[in-house]
Amino acid sequence: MPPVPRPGARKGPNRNLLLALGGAALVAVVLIVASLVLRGGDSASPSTTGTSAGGGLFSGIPQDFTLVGKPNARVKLIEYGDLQCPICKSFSADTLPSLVDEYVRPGRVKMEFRGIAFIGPDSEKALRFVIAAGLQDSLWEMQEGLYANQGGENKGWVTDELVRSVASEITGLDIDQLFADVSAPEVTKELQESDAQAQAAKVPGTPWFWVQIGDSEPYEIQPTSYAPDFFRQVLDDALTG
Amino acid sequence: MSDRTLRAAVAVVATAGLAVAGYLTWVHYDENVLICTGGGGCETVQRSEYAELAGIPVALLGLIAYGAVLLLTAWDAPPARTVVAAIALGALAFAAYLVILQLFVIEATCVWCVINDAVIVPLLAAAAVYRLQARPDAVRDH
Repeated sequence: MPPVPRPGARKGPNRNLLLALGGAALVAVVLIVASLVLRGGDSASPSTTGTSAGGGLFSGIPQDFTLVGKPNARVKLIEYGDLQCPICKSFSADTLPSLVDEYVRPGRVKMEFRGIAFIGPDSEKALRFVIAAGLQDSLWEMQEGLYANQGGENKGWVTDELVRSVASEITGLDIDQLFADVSAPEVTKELQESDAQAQAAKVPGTPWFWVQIGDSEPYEIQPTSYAPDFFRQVLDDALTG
Repeated sequence: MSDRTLRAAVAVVATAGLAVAGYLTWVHYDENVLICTGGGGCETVQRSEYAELAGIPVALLGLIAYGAVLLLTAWDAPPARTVVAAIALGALAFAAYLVILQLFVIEATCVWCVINDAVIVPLLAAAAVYRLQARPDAVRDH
C-alpha cells in the first residue's frame, strides 16, 4: 500500500501559485505577441536604411561651411545636433524639409549647424565627416545623409563605405578630399569651437535651438514640439520681431 | 517573514514601479523632454517601434499594471493575491522580452527601462510569489 500523505502536508507549488503561473503565461504570451504584431511608433531601427542624401533639398541654396541660406537673411536658426541622436534624425527627416522650403530657400532665414559629439565615438567620427563636407560647402547634405542612415548607438555604423555611399550622392563633392579633410586642423577647430559654444550656452542635449536676429544676441528657444508648426511660429515671430 | 512585511514589500516595490512607469509615460507623451542627453539610449528606446503596442505606450501599460497591483494589494483578499502574482509573473516574462529587445534588436538600453525590467519587476514577482506560497498561518498573522 502506498504511503498516504499527511493531511495538510504541503508538497510542490500550491494551487494558487499554479493559477498565477497560468495567468502569467497567458498575460506574457498576449503581450509579447501583441508587441511583435501591433508594434507602432517611429522606427528607430539600427540597421542601415539606405536613404539617400538630400534628394535636392538644398540644391541651389548657398552654403558656407556650417551655414545654409542667403548670407543676408536677417534671422538665423542655430541647431545643435549629434549625428547619433534619434530625435535629431527625426527633426532632419520630418521638419527640416518644410523649414528649408518655406524659410531658407526664399532667403528669409539661414541656418547654422553646430555639431556636438557627446553620445560616443561614432558621433565624433560622423561629425568630422560632416564638418569636412562643410569645407566643400556640402555640410547640410552630408548631415542629412548620415541622419538618414543612422545606426545603433556606437555600433560602428559610421563606416568608410557608408560615408562614401552618402557622399557619392552629393553633387560636386570631392570624396577623396572629404576623406583627406577628416583630420584637418580646420575640422578639429570647428569641432572644438562647437563644443565650447554648446557648453557656454549650457545646451542640455540635442536637438537644441537658438535664434539670432541680425547681430543681436542669440536667444534660446524651448521646443514644446519638433513639428514644423512650432518652428513656423518661432521663425515668424523672429521675422516680425 | 510575516505576511504584513511581504504585503508592505509588494506595495513599496509597486509604488517604485509606478513612479518609474509614470516618468516613462510622461516622457513618451511630452515631446519637450525628448532630447538626446547621452544618458544611455532612452531616446532610441522611446522612439523605437516597440515603445508602443497598438498605439498604447508600453510605459502606460506598466503604469496600469502597477496601479492594479497597488489596488489589489490594498484589497488583499486571497484571489487578489493570486492576481497580483499573475500580473507580477506576466510582467517578469514581458520584462525579460523587453530587455532582450533593447540588447539585441533596438541595440540601445534605457537606464530607466532597465531599472524597471531588471530590478523592480523581479523584486515584485519574488515578493508576490513568496507571499502566495507563505504558509496559511503566516498569511493570517495580522
